[in-house]
Amino acid sequence: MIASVTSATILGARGYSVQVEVHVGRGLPGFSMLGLPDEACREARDRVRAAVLSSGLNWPDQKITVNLAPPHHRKTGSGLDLPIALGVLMATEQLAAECLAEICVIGELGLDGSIRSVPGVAPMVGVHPEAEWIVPADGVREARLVTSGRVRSTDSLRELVDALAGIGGWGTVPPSAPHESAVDLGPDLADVRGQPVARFALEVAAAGGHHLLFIGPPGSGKTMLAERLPYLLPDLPHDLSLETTMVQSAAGVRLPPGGLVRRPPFRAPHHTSTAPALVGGGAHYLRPGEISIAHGGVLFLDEMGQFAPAVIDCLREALETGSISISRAQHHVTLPARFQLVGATNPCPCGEGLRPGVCRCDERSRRRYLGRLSGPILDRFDLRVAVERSQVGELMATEPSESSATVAKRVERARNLAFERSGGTNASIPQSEIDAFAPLSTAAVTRLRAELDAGHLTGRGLHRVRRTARTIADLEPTPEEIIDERHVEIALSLRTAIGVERQ
Amino acid sequence: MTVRVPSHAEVVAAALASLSAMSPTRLRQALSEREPEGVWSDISVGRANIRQLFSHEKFRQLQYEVHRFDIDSTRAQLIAYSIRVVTCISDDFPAALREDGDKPPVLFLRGDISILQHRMVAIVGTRRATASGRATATELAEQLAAAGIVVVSGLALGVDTAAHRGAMRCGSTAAVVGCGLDRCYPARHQSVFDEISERHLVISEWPPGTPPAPFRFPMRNRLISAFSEIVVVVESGDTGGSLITAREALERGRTVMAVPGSPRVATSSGTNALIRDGAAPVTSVGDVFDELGLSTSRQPVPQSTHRVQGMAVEIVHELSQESLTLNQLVERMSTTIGEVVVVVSELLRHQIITESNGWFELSRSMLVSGKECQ
Repeated sequence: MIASVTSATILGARGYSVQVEVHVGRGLPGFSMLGLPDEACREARDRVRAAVLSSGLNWPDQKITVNLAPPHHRKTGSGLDLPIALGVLMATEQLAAECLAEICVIGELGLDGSIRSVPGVAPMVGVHPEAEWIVPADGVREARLVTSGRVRSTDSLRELVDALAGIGGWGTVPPSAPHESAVDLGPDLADVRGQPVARFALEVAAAGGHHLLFIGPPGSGKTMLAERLPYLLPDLPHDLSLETTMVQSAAGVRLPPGGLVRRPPFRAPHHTSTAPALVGGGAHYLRPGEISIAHGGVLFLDEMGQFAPAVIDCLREALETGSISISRAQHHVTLPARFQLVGATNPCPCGEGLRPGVCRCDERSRRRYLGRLSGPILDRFDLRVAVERSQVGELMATEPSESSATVAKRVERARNLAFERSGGTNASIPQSEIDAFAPLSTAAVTRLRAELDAGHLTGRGLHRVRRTARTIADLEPTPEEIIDERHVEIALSLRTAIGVERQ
Repeated sequence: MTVRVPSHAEVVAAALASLSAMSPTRLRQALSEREPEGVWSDISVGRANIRQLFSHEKFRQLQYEVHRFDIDSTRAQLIAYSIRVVTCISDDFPAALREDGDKPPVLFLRGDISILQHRMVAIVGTRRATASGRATATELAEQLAAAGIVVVSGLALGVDTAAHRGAMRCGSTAAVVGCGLDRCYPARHQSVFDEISERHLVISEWPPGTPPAPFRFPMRNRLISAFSEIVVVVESGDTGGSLITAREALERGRTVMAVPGSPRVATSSGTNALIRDGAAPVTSVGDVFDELGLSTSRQPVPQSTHRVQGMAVEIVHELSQESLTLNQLVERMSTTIGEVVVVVSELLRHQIITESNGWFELSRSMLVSGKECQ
């Protein structure tokens, strides 16, 4: 007998439809699987057999052939366990074929017949957005985000067979929790004592979407500051939220209870991360990397100078285009990767922050250290801020600093202003429209010209300063359309030149 | 440019200094009795008077080296880099060193040797100098050079180079280096090295081809102190080469002077300690002139091209204590970033302060007046 079940597998952050065909017929008892299954997928054979037997169902003593169509396409993961099991049951007439008509299935099986969750439910279900789906219980909410059809689940294979036959009930999913407020229980900016410039830079970064680099010694609070950035950002807009959910689901990141990622993600990969871990990849699976998981949110690279230079340079494409293309001999995928980069680095090996007269590093080791951050990457940072260790007085201050909620309000207002003006953040104003969106006062022009003449600013740097100045002007209590000298001056001072002396 | 061909005695002296089995002390002993050529042939034939200075093993090694020595390539090197060689017994040997117990047997010179006839003052300090330290060194050097004093230093990063630059602008300078004169160390200073070796003077006790090595720098410091009447230490940490120079200077009875600084600045701890231990403080270039017995008719006048007002006064005051980041400045002024930034930018424009790697420093030393160069 032959049976066919519709399912899906995943490549990169996209699902692909897979037709699971099962043939049970005469021949030496055995199980063979066709259609380029990977190792996890091939092991389905033993899981499925054990699950079927522990569910009190029969395993045929016949030749079982499973074909995963389309056959040229590599299938990954354990999500095909359940469709294969159902296919076997249908082919051996333990389950009526019409029960599964027009229904798609994904799920992993345990040896005891329980149905377990798999990563990437949302992108896989998105392959047939109008079909009815059976997914693991954990994935029901995220599946409902992307399909208009019915989504159901049970906890085990036995319950599923009974439910499909109409003699048992379906599992129930509690109604999704109400959406949490924008600034949830994350770390608060009020915990950061002192650091007025770094705090302001964080606010500007949040308001304008600018990439931000903290330069300072260990213990100066670079990580503490960076962690607070996502809580200054407003909720993700719905389409971006959906994209982020898809990528995170595909990467197997634990999704929030509602299934939908509404808050900007914050990712902080360690500096030993490899290039595939950061940008995505792997031989067959092409798992999304950290930069894609951070889509719509913040990617924080602590000790940026310690990352392998080749790994850091991989970020350039993503910073430029907001997506990353990964090609392997067999596949090619494009993953979304529009993130805000926050870097933190020691300025030199001794970590004394290049403080004149205190830093013990010689010129060469300093240059080698900062040289690890290539010029093109350093240039992408609109904001480069030197931070130093807080002094005792600040640490012991009882007066609380401004809270994230207060700053987030200003940030949201400035972001709305920018969005009305250019349809995006200030950091993404295209060069051709910078004159229209960031007009300068005469004094501001004079100031910038002086800076260009002195050779402190390059052409590219000029545009970056103008974008930052635009955000600073937008953050004023009463924002003006024309950018003033003062805004330019602040923008310049938030762009510390490293390794160069400014006079 | 005329090519100066070194005399045979010079070439042989250079060759003697290049022998690895030869120690400076033995060479000094040998040269006190015989001309360089004589010493060379004595070694070659193994005469008793020279043989007795060495152990049997050492002397065999020495002879072996002498027999294999390519003296023509030494001559070629001296010509190529126009290096002059003087031995400790020749009349050209600097007078300041002649009485020194630890004088080098052979000196290598490149540049204008008439500079050796002038009075010399050393300006030394740390490689990790602050902007204000470098400015102080430059300004002191400018005024000493303008008064006809040769400024001696070690061509190192930081204070040394600042002093050389200042002196070259207004007069003469001499650099004492710790490697052969055919190379520049640190390599980044090639342009300064070229200028000094062409128009001023570079001095070394090491033959061409000698690479820089850590043990040579204290020896170079000894030479700096031996050349100078006064050693001025501009900035120094608790440990550092410039303190070696100061100690060597004291052993030779030279005057040591030090530029005082805030006790909160690490680069002033060495100089402050020197002052505590009896070195004369340099509060203006006039103090150095007094020490040299020169009158300073022109008293230093505080220079102000720009009137500092309002918050700028406070900022300058804070920066005179220690270097600060923008963050710290904003905190200390307890006002908004915008206001501080505008003032700081103006101070930067008038070159009253400098910024490097996010740290602000006072650039104009309040110590030395800006006397014009002639």
